[in-house]
Amino acid sequence: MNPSTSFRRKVIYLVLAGGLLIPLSLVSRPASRDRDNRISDRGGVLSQLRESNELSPARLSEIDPASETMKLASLGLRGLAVNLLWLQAIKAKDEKEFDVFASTLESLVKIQPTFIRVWEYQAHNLAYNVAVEFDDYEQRYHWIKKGIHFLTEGIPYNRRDHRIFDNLGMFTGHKFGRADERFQYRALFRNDDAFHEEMSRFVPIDQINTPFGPDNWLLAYLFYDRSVKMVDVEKLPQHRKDMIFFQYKPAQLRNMGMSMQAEFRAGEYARNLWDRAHGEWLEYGNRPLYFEGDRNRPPVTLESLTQSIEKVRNLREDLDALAPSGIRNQLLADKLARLSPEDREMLTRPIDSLDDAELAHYREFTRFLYRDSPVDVQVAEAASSGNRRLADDIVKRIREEDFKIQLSESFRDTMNYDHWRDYAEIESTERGIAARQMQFDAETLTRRSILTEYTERNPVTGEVSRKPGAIQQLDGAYSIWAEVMNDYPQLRTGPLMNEIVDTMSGPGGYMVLRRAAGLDEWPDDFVLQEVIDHRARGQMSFDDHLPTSELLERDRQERGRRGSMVLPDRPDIRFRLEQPTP
Amino acid sequence: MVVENFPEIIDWLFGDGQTTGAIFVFLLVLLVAVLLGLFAGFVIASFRSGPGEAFYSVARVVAGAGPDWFRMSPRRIGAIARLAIKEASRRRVILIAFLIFSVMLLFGGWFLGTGEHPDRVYINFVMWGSQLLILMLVMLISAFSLPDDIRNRTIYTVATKPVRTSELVLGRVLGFTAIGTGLLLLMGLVSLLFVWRGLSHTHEIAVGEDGRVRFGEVDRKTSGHRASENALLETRTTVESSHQHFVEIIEDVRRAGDPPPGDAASIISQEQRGDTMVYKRLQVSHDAGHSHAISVSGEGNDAEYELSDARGFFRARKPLYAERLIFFGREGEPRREGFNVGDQWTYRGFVDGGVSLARAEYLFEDFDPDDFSNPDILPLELTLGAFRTVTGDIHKRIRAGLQFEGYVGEGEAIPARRFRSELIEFETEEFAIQVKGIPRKIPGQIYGPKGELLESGVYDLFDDFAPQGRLKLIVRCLDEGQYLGMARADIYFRVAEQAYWWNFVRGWLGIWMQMLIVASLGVAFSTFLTAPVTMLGTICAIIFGFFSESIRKLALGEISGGGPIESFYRMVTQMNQEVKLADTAGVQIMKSIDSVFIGMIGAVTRIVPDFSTLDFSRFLTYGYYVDNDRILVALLVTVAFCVGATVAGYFCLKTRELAG
Repeated sequence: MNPSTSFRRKVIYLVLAGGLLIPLSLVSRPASRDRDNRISDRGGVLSQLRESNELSPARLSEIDPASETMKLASLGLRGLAVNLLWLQAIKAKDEKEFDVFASTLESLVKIQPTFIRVWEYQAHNLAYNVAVEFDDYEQRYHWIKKGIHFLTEGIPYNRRDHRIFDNLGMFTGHKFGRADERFQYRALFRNDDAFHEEMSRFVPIDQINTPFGPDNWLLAYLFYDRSVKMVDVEKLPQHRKDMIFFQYKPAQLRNMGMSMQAEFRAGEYARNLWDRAHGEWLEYGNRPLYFEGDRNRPPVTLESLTQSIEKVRNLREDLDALAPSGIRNQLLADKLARLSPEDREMLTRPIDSLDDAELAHYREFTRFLYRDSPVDVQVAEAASSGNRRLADDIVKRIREEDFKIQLSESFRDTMNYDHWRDYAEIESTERGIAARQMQFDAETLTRRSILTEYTERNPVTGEVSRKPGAIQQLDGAYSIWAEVMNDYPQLRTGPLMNEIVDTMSGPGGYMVLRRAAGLDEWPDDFVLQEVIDHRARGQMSFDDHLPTSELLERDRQERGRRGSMVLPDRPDIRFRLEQPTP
Repeated sequence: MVVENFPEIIDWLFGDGQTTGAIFVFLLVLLVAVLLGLFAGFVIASFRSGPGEAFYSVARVVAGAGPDWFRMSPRRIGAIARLAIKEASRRRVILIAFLIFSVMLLFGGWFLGTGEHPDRVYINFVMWGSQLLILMLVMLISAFSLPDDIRNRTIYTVATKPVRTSELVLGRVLGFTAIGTGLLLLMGLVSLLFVWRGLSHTHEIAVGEDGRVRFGEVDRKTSGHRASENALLETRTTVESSHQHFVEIIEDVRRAGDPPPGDAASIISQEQRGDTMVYKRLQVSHDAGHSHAISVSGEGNDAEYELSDARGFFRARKPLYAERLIFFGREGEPRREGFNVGDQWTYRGFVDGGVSLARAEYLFEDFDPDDFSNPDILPLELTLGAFRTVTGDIHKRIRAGLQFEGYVGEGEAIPARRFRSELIEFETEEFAIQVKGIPRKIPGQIYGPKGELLESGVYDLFDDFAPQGRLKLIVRCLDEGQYLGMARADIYFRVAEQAYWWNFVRGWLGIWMQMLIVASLGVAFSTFLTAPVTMLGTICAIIFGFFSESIRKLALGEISGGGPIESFYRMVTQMNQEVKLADTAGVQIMKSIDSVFIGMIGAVTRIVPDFSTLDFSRFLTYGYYVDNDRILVALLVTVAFCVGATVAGYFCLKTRELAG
C-alpha cells in the first residue's frame, strides 16, 4: 500500500463518518416547544422514543452526578458492568455475604437507576430473602428496613412511577404486619423514631399515630395513598390493573383493624377505625373500574351490581312488551321446568328482597336461563317488524349491561369484595366490638389460667363479685357471632368464620380449654352448631375436628341415649365416645 | 465471610492425599510445554529450511540456550531494563494511569463510607482500582514495546550490540516490573492514606433541645444490634459518616483484687459491694465495623464527654486454626460432613441440637502459650451459622455450647487423666465474628481411662488439657430442633494482632506478583505477535486468570448450559439452561463439538495463572493476616509463570528472523 492509497482511504472513512452524522442528527433532533410550552415539533425518531418511554433525563428528575460518573466510568461497557455486578450480587447473596451484597446493589442501581424492576427485585431480596436469613428477629427487622431504605433511594430516579410507592406500602404493611414475627415487628416499629423520621421525607408521618403508638399499616396506607394520587391527580401512567391497584389503599385499614384487635382490647378507636375501613372499602366499591385498563369499554363499579341486574330485568320487560305476549315464557318454560319450585319462587321475587346468598343463586339461575342461550335474541326476532329495530337496540343494551354484570361479579369474587365489606361493617358495630372484647378477655384469662367463672375481691371495698372465665367469655362471643351469622348467612364461610373456628379448635382454643377445665362434653345446644354443620356440608371445615350435628346424632343413636361427645385431648385426635352410664 | 489460610505450603506443594501436589502438576505442564515447544520449533524450521536442516536448527537453538542464560551480564540486563523504563516513561502512560487513579480516589468518596462495614468497602475499592490500573498499564507497555521496536526497526540499535537474546527479554521484563513497582508503591501509599483519612472520624454525644446530654432507658432493638447485657442507660452519638453509635452506661462488676477497667477515663463512679467492686463506666457500641474510646470529665450536668477517633477498623488477626474438623451425627457416629439444611452454598456443615449426640470437634495441634500475645485470656473467635426448623423462643438466638478436651493422636494410649472443661453456653450471632475470651484456667473435670470421674477443679488449658499441644474443642447446638452451622475456618484462636501497615504491604504484594506475571506474559507474547494481538492475548490470560475457577467448573461440566455452541443455541432460542435438550442427531453433533471446546478451555485453565491465588484482598478486607504460607504459594506460582514465560519468550525471539 503506497502512502497515497492510505491517505485516500482515510479521507473516504472521514467523509463516510461525517456523512453518517446527517442521519444521526435527523433521528436525534430534539422536540421543540412554542411559547406556551406546547410541543410544536416532536423531533426525531430517537427523541420521540425517549419521550414515549419517558427516558429523557428531564423527565427522570434531576441528573445524579454519582450515577452519571459510574456510567461514564464503565467506558461504554455499561451492559457488561451490569452483568458483572448482578453476578457479584447473586454470588454474595448465595454465600451469605450480605454486607457485600448490599454494597454491590448500591453500585448496581447507580448504573441502572431508572430500571424499576431492579429496585423492586433487589429491595425484595433485602427485605424478604436476606432478612429471613438472620436468626435474631431484631436483625431481621433491621434488614427489612434496609430493603425499605433501598427502595426510597429509587424515588428520585423514578418520580413518575408509582410502583416504588406500591412496594413501600407492601413492605411496611405486609412485611411488618403479616410475618410470623408480626407482634415483635409491630412493637419495634412503634418505638422506631429514627425510622419514622426517615419516612417523614415521603409521607405526612404524623398521620400514622394512634393511641397505641405509630402503626405500620397506616404508613402503608399513606404510601398507597400517594401512589393513587400519582395516578388520579398527577395523571401519571398506571402500571397495575384497576381492580388490584385501587384496593391496596382501603385494604390497609382493614389489615390494621385485624392486627389491632389481635393485640389490644377493642374499643372506640377500633370501632372508628373499622367504620373508616368500611367507608373506604365502599368508596372502592363505587369507583369506576376498567377491564384490563381498556378505557374504550364502559367501566363498572362493584357496588352497582344490583342496579345492573335490576336494569337488565327492566330492559327485558321492555323487550317483552315489543314481542307477542308470553313468548319469553314459552322459551324459558323448558329451562324453568328443570328448576326446583323454591328456586322458581325466588326468581319471581323483587331483587331488593334477596339476601347476598340468594342473590348469588339468582345470578347463577339467570346465567343458566339467559346468558348461555339466545333467549333475548329470540324474543327480539319475534317482535313485529315495526318494533324490530327498537327490540334489537334493547338487546344490545342488555348485552352491554350484562357485560358489566359479568365483570362486576368477576371482580367481586376475585377481591372477595362482599365478604370484606360485611366484615368491616360488622366489626364497626357495637356487637362486633363486644365480641372482640370478649375474645380478647378470654385470651387474657387463658394466659392467667382462669378458664371458668371466678370471684374477685375489690381491694378497696372488699366486695366479692363473680366474673366470667375464659370459657364463659368465649361462649359470650360465640353468642354474638351466632346472631351475626344469622343476619349475614353469607359469612358462614370465609375469613371471619375461619378466625372464629380458630378460637374453637386451634391451640389454646375453646375445645382445649373445656377439656382443661374438666368440661369434657361438647355443649348440646352450641350456638354456632348450625355454622359448623354448614361448613362441613360445604366441605370447608378443613379438618377442624369440630363435631357436626350429624356426628352427634349418630353417636346418640348408637348409644340409644342422649349423650354428648367427649372432647379430645388435642384437636387432632379422633373423638372418643362417652361410656354409656348403666 | 470466608477467609481461609489453607492449605499449608507443604500440602499445597506435595498434595494432602485429596488434591494433587502443585509440584507434580508443574512438572507435567513443563514436560508437555517442552515437548510441544520442540515440536513447534521443528515444524516452523521445517517450513523454512526443510526437515533435515530443521533438526539441526532446533538443536542449535536448544544448545545455545544454555550459554545464553548462564552467561548473562547483570550490567547489560540493567542497561536493557533502563532502556525499557525510558521508553515507557516517554509514552506518558504512567502519568495517565496515576491521574486516573487520583481521579478515582477523588470521586470514590461519593460511593464509599456507608453500610455495615465501610472499611471493607474502602479496602476493596483501592485494591480493585490499583489492581486494575497497574495490570492495564503493565500490559500496555509490555505489549507495545518490542513490536514497536521491531516495526520501527529501532530494535537494530540494540540487536547490533553485543546483547544476548535472554538479556533482551529479561531486561524488558525487569524494566517494566520496575516501572510498575514504583507506581504500585505510590498507589499503595496513597491508598493507605486515603483509607485512613476516609475512615477517620469521631462523634459527639447527641444533646437534647436544652443542650444537655440525656441518658435514657436501654431500648436498642430497632438498630439490629443488641445492647450490652450489663447496660443500665444509654444515649446516642451524633451522625457522622452515615452512622451513629450508642453510648451505654454499663455496670462492670469485678472481684476484689481484679484489675480495674483498662480505660480509666471512661469510669463514672466506683463502689465497693461486699467483696466486689462495681464500676459504672461508659462504653460506645460497636457499629459500622468500629467503635470509639470515650472519656468523661466532670460530674452531673457539668460532665463533658469526648470520643476518640474510630477504633477497630484496621485489623490483622493472626488465627490459629484447628488442624481438622470432624462432625458427628445424632447417634454420635462420625460423619464426613455436617448436615445440609438446604443451602445452595454447602460451605458450612450443620449439627442439630437438643437430645442429640450431634456435635463438631475442632482438633487443634501446636496449641502453645508462646504463640499467644496474651496467654492468660485466649480470644476464641467464632462465625457460626444458625438454622431453625421451628420458631422456638423468638426472643432468643440459638444457643451453642463449647467444651474443651485434651486428646491423643492415633495409636497413642489413652492417658490416665483426661481433662474436660465445663460447658460454656452462649447465644450465637449469625454473620458476625463473635469473640469469647477463654481464660487460661477454666473449671472442669478429670476422668479416668474408663470415663470415671476422678476430680473437679480449675485447670490450665495449656499445661493440663494440652500438654502435648493437642486440644479438642467440642461445639454443640443446645436448642431442640435447631441447627448450628460451621466450617473449619469458622472457629479459631486469635493468637496475635499484627501491625496493619505490614499486612497492607503483604496484601499489596499479591498485586505486585500479578503485575510481574502480566509483564512476563506481555513480553513473551510480544516476541512473536503484533502489539494488538499481544494485548488481546494478555487480556485473555488476565481474564482466564481471574475467572479460572468458574472456567474450570465449566470445563468440568459443573455449570449447566453446555459449551459455547449449546449456550449460543440456548440464548437464541431463549431456552433455560436447566431444560434438557432433545436427544437428536443435531444435538449430539453440537455436544461433540462443544466437548472439544470445553476440553481446550480446561487445558488452558491449567496453563494460565490462577490470579485468585495471588489475590489477598479478602484478607485485608476482612482484617486477617496474610500468612507466610499464602505468600510462599503465591511467590512459587509467580516464579513458575515468570520463568516459564521468559524462557518461552526467549526461544520465540531467538527463532524469529529479525532481519525479515
